[in-house]
Amino acid sequence: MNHRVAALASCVLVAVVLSPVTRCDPYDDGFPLSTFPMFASVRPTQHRMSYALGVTRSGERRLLTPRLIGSGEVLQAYRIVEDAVAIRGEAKKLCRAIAERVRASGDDELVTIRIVTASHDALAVLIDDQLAPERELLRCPVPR
Amino acid sequence: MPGASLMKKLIDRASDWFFAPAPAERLAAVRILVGLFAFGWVTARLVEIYRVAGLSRGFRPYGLVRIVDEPLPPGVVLAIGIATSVLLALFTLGVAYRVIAPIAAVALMMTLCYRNSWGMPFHTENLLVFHVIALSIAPAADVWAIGRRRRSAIAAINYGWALKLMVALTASTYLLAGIAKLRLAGLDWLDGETLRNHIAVDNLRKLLFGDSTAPLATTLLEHPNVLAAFSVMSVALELGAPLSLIGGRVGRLWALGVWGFHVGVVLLMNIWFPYPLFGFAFLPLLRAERGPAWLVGRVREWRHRSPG
Repeated sequence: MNHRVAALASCVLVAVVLSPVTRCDPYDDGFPLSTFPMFASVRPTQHRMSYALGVTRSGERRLLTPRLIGSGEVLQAYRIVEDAVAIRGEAKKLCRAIAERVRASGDDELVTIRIVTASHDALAVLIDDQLAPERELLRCPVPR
Repeated sequence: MPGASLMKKLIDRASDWFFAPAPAERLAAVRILVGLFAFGWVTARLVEIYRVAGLSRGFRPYGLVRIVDEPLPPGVVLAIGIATSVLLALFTLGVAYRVIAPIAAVALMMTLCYRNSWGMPFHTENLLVFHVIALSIAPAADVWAIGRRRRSAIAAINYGWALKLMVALTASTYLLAGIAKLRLAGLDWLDGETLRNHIAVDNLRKLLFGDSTAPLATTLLEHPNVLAAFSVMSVALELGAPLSLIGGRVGRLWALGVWGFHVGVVLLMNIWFPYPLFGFAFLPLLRAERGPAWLVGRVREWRHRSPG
């Protein structure tokens, strides 16, 4: 490649990669061109979130892995649950899908899936092990 | 005219810096190592890519994927993923590089854009895509490539610019991350509390989604002063990323700092950025040809020794 073309192509590529800085909204993220807003904003430790839980035959509460929810990644699994809870009827579909995955995984202990929401203080949970009360949005049985 | 003369001098100096010579083997080594990483990354995620493509909702197209309105059938997504793996293998080997490399770069972008269009976009793969694009337009397979005859004379002046471009792309992504912090949180980001809260909420999510929390998270959450130091160092490294363009020791020192930053992210948030964490992102700053050259030497030695 001739040097002028190489210099021009390089300038264009770097300018394109830097272009998200001109976006008015820094949260207007994308891929591969990103504003990189992750962990950039001020945030409180109080965090309202929805998540799925399993209930065992003996009534114990058990946390579910992201894979059972529908993704190998925690953040994507989190987004799947949040999106499902936000749209009427979707949480029910998600609950059934999770229950089906639990059945397919061969886990015989879990009998029920619950979708709950709670406003936790992250520091209280991690340092003092104090969970806030969880409100159940719906539950569905694991098919056998 | 003095203005024009000054401008010419500046352009000449910038040109001398950008086109400073580098061995063809260095660029080829970067191609091989980055290509291997990209190949391994995509191949290892094929099953995940296929599974996610079958989700009933959560599709928000990004980048190249915006050309489709509806999710593609999972079988088609898997086929694109497999084709991407094959193209990246050929890219790594340097086969028909001028044709294959740009196609491999587009395929990689398509596959990763599609994966990131489900749920939310991640920031672990952006730099990999940019580096593969940069390599695809560079003469990165003039040596150490299958089907290439050894050239008697190679002009080193043709290879350094691509490495500089890759460093500039690396610096750009970290600079953007630093600017985002200043735009969204301002100087408040430096007091340690913002970082502490992010660490806490991120680990809370992991805990409630049945994943492992980070090994040092709970310990350091109780010491916001330490986190204040981490906050300042993080922003300094991000905003100081253009210093890496100086290269040499300064560039390598910056790379070491950023690598340490990523190790810290693992220890505090259990978030893995494999591309920088395993050093691939910083290869253009290093004498990357040394490892492969040693290996090539051993292989040649072994060939000479073996009978027949």
